[in-house]
Amino acid sequence: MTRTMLWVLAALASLLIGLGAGAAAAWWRTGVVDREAGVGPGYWRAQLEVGGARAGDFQRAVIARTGIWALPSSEVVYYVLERDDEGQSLTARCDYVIEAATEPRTRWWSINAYREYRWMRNAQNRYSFTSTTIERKADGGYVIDLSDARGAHPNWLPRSGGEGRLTLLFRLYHPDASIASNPAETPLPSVRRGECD
Amino acid sequence: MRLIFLAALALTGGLLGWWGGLKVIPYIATDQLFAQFRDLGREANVLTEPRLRFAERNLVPMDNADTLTRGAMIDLSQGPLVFTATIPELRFEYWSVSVFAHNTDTVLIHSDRDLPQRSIRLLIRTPDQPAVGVYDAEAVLPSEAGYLIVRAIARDRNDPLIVDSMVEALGEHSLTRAQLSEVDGG
Repeated sequence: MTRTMLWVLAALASLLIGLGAGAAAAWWRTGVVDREAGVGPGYWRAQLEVGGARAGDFQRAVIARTGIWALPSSEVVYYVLERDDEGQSLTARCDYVIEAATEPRTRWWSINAYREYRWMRNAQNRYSFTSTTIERKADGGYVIDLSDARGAHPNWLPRSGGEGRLTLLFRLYHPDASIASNPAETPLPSVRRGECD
Repeated sequence: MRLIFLAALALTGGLLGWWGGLKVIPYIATDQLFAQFRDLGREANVLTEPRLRFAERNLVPMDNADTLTRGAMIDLSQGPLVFTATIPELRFEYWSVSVFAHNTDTVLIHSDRDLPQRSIRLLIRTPDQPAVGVYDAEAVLPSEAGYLIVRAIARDRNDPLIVDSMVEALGEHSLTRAQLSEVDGG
């Protein structure tokens, strides 16, 4: 084998190694929600380009793997949360109290909880609360216990114990125009950590 | 010098791999789900029965727990399709039909808000398939593959009376192959 052939082989190998590493990095980075991307109140984040042709390649790839077939923001605005009020990562090992004083101006809303992007199994088959199922306080606000066992509040979102990333997703169907124009001001709930396993 | 050249090649390859990876991942994600659907016995161009989903058997990441859905893997290789629906008045908080391209982009979304006549006849085709006939809307997919979803939001997914009535109403929707006379005027 001549030195020229060795040189060509080395060049090809470098290119192929680079290609493989780049593709692997893309796969690895798109397997989780980018919890810093987008805008929203507190640590809630909405990316208004989701579901439309304006979405970038990275955003489209992340959504395809973590929330495929999302609708455009004219139809639904999605707010994702992976940190509590203190900035700590949400974890399926801990209980949380989700509390809001007011509700966003939208036709209908829901809040779902996921462990590793999937619902948590529970005997009640309860994975969410919505604007039509939430029990409100006298002052119009609401409180949800996301917990292993039923808590003090009427809205209980069961958390099955175990390790893993916890994600909250707040959907606003047919949101008021003010939400798209000022997504950081949408009144979304606070999330306080309780006891952990 | 040679090492620098090899490193530059590897870096170029890395950038190409990253960019190419991002481009193909949505297609891979769609194909992976389609493969799982086929494993469950689902066929292309056939609407699933209306149903709620449960944690024990849920394939879609970060799914909406409160929608009853009907879905269909779209394959336009044998010609265009027609989706027909009447939107029921029953205990729905929201109803929509959406069509997604193979790369997951939303090609069409029509909800009950957009359909005061409370019905829709939707043609689904590729750009090279002719659109002749009378339809309320058309979804032009960039390729022969796509996915159609009907979403109907239940007022309370844990109320069996509501869910049963919604299941019955959604069962009236249909997805059929477009008749030749509808697409070629013949």
